[in-house]
Amino acid sequence: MLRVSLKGVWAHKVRLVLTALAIILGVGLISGVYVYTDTIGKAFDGIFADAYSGIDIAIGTESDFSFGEGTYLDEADFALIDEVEGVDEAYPYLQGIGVTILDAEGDVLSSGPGPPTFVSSLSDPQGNTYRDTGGFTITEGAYPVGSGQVAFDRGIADLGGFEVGDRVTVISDLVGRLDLELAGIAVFGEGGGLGGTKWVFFDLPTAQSVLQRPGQLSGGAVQVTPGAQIDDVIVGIQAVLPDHATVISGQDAAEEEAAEIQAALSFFTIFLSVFGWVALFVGSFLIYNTFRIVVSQRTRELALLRALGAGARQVRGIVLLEALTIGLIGALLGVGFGVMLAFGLQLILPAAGIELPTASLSIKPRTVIVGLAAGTVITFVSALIPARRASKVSVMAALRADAAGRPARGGLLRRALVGGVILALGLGALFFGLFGDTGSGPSPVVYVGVGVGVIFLAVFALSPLVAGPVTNLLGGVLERFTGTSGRLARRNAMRSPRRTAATAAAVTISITLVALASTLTGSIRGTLDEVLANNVDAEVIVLPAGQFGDPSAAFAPEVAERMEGIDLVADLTRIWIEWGLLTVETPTGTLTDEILITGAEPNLADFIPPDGFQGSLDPGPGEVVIEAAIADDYDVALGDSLVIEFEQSGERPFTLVGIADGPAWAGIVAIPATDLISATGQDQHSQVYAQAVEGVGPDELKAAVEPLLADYPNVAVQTFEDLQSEAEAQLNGLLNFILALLALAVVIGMLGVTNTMALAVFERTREIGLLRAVGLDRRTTRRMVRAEASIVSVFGALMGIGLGIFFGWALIRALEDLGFAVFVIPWLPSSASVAGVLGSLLFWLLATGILGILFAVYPAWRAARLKVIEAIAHL
Amino acid sequence: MYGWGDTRVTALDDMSVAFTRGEFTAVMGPSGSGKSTLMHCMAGLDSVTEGSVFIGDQDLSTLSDRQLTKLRRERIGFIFQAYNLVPTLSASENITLPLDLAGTKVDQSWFDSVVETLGVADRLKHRPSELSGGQQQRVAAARAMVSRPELIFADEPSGNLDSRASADLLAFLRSAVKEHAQTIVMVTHDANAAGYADRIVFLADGRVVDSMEDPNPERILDRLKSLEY
Repeated sequence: MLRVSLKGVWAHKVRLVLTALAIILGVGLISGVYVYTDTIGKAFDGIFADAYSGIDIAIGTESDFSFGEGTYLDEADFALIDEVEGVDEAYPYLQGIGVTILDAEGDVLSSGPGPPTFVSSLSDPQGNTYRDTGGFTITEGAYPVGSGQVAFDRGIADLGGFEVGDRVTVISDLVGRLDLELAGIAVFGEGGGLGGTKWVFFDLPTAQSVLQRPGQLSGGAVQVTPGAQIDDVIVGIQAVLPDHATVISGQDAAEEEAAEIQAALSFFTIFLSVFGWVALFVGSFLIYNTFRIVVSQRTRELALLRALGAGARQVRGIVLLEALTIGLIGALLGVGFGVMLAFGLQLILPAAGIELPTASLSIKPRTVIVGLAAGTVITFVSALIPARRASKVSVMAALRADAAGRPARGGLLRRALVGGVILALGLGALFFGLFGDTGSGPSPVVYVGVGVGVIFLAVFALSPLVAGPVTNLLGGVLERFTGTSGRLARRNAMRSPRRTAATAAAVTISITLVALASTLTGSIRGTLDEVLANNVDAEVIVLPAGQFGDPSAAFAPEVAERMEGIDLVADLTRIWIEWGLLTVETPTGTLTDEILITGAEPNLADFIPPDGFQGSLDPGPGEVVIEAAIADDYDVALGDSLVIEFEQSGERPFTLVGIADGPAWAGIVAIPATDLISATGQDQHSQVYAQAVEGVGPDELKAAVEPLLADYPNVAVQTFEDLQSEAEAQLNGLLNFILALLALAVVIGMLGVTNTMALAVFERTREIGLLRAVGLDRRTTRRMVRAEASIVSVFGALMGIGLGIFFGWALIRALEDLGFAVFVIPWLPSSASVAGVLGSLLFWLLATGILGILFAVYPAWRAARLKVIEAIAHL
Repeated sequence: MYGWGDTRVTALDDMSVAFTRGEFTAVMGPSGSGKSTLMHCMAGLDSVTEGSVFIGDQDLSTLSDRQLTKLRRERIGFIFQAYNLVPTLSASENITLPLDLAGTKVDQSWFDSVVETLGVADRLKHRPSELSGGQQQRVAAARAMVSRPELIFADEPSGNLDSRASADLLAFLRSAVKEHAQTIVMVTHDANAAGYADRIVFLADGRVVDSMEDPNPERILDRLKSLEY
């Protein structure tokens, strides 16, 4: 039996290659992601083990805040460590954020949106190669000493073209412009960067002054005297330090930091491998369809086997063995392809600005097992239904000439009923996940995921019912332009709705995701346009430049002072932003969230007028105004009391005096500016909105403000058009990235079209011969095959776009609280750019039509090359 | 010739045969005698390795594949033994297929008279799978006729039909020759079918071995016996 299977595989090499290709691509993506992230993980393990190799005990601080500036230790407390028994030497360090680097032209050095720039002390107290800042070492030049010297990480130096000895300018949010000498260049680990983060190093006193943390530390490292028990020393140090200090062994610290990075990477891994699983899912349809066609094509061969005495189970076994063989070969090649992919990623990602440490490729048994299992199991499962059909082939079929490929007509009504019920179940799960109260059950994500999967299944069960009419319509359009070849293509596409639907299904899945991504980005764009155009009453806004990752980044108050002096400015409002922990006592328990707190001036509402509000929009001392959606989430009403905890000064009580509604208020929790300043101890603005006097436009005002702020390169003056185009660029970047990952799934879906068309050409050999005999020329023959592929692809794309729009709509309705004000179906390109076009649904409809033609070039060529006489004689 | 070296088979050997315009000619011979190959070569479906094939003044051996395709749809009609029709097209679409492919307008009155004569006028909307074998072959005959080709090739057209349907079809072919001066070349091994022809050409081993004018079945059978079939 194995021999029959293997011969079956070998006899149809093209089919083997196409089916295997789907598995190779999907498995390749999954295992490639594993290999790559394992490799990075291994690199980080090595780096942290190395970084902490000279450190016996690591000291840090704990904070309730994940986004804040961190908490600090006093130098006086740290000095007590020296007195603890067993401590040989203790080295302090300080870290923070809040600087901007200028390039040689005096502009902000930026590589686009990314994480903030970190400031750290980096010192080499006794000429040791002792590293005190998580893995950085100076490899060029020297350690920075005194207030005139700085060191950059290799990424900054490369980006700005800086060399050791250059004069460089760094702007501190808190102390302003610093002109410095670049003393040295530091690298992380063996030479790579740290995920694209930028690092600026000073000696400790200078770091304290730049970050305005005199006498404060983030933590330190301790070396113990020979023979001392590390655990005992830890207990001793804990006794002299305040409660929020953490004291752990260097080994634990290395493992902890590596684990933290691994956790961050696992998000990356999951995100990337989702696209691999999607590709495999799409591939499973291709495999299912291939085996389905193969079985009906081989009806007579299988029936002959039955006639010769093979049992139903043996026939089923033959088909399944064939699937297993292809699955295993595909999965093996896929894992190999994945390793190559990981190698490629190591080369490509740094070029795209994502700096991660490198190491020799790490191929774990898990990667190979998951890859092989995924490829084989999916192929096997996809072939189950076709195999069952194969086993039901009647022995009589062998004796009848016309038995091949006559599709079983399942009851249409039954199909409609079953499909309808499945659809209802899927919709139920989806809507319950999105809008229902899932309570203590599984998370809403589970319901949404299951719902989406079930809806897919329902649509695929129902799609044969509409495949006929829809392809008829599409073909009708085509026939108008292409005449007879179009008519033949249309009829061919309609002749087996189930096959057309199954082929289109693979296209549908990938296009659904494409349409979903387009609809979401289109709606985000629409929301931004709506908010900026209709809900903000200001001509320009001043923001920190180049600090995309940090909404609480700030600039000096002199900026606003200078703007007040400009004649063209009619009015302005200043905004302070800091992270806080918002806590509300409810009857069922305590709700706490880390949230951005806005320090507002009384005139804030003049600049962002709400659609409606209750109470007041001008909070007095100890009062707070929040957005309606947040009030709903916390279930609070006017007069309730809320507690906000600040990292710098602890908890403060506030009374809710106003609830505002409207897109521009999304996410706002506003307290008086004076309260925020006293809570944080910092009077730094995060945003300034300015209204122009009557008759002055945004660009004119911007032109008037910019020169006055020339010596504040760390702030940017922007009109709302600027903000829109900046947001547009970011959205486009995101969309392009997702589309690039989906491209693989699209290709696999299209391979399914190639496969079906190749098999259809084979099946219709005699018919093509007849057509050729009565006068169909080669060119028209090719056109006929390509046109059919195009019709099937566009049918798939239509279903995908419909589903994508629906999922997008449901998601946006569910995320209304997050500020999605409008739902946009991006039929047309949003701009003339590549990303603008890629985000348009009509483009994808057209593109799948063209891809259908391209992916049918080979089957079309085969059809045209058939020898007429042999074709007519073909059985 | 097919194949090379030891496997080379000469299908048609030094044959010279002409078919007269406006005549119904039957080609007979045992299997392997080359009658199908002869027809394929004459229809531009296959090419000769030596010598020439003419339709009128046109030498087929000088034509490209495209020109041959054009020739087939404009000047030649086909009726095969079976599977004559494109299953996705209706009877009427099958009939006009060569005209549609050529982009030629259908002569409606000619179309009507052809389908009327063949008795398929009330089956035009049906798909081939909804027609009987005899109806299918008559639709195929209508297709061959409708473009008014100079020449119709019929390859065992009644081979799959019962005697009644077979007689209907052959009688139609006969009348097409008589009434419209249609030229028909029919390959057959059935003496009854050949009896409808004006002339019979007998083949054996790739050569013309005999011919007969105004045949009838008894004479054909006699002749076949004398040729030791």
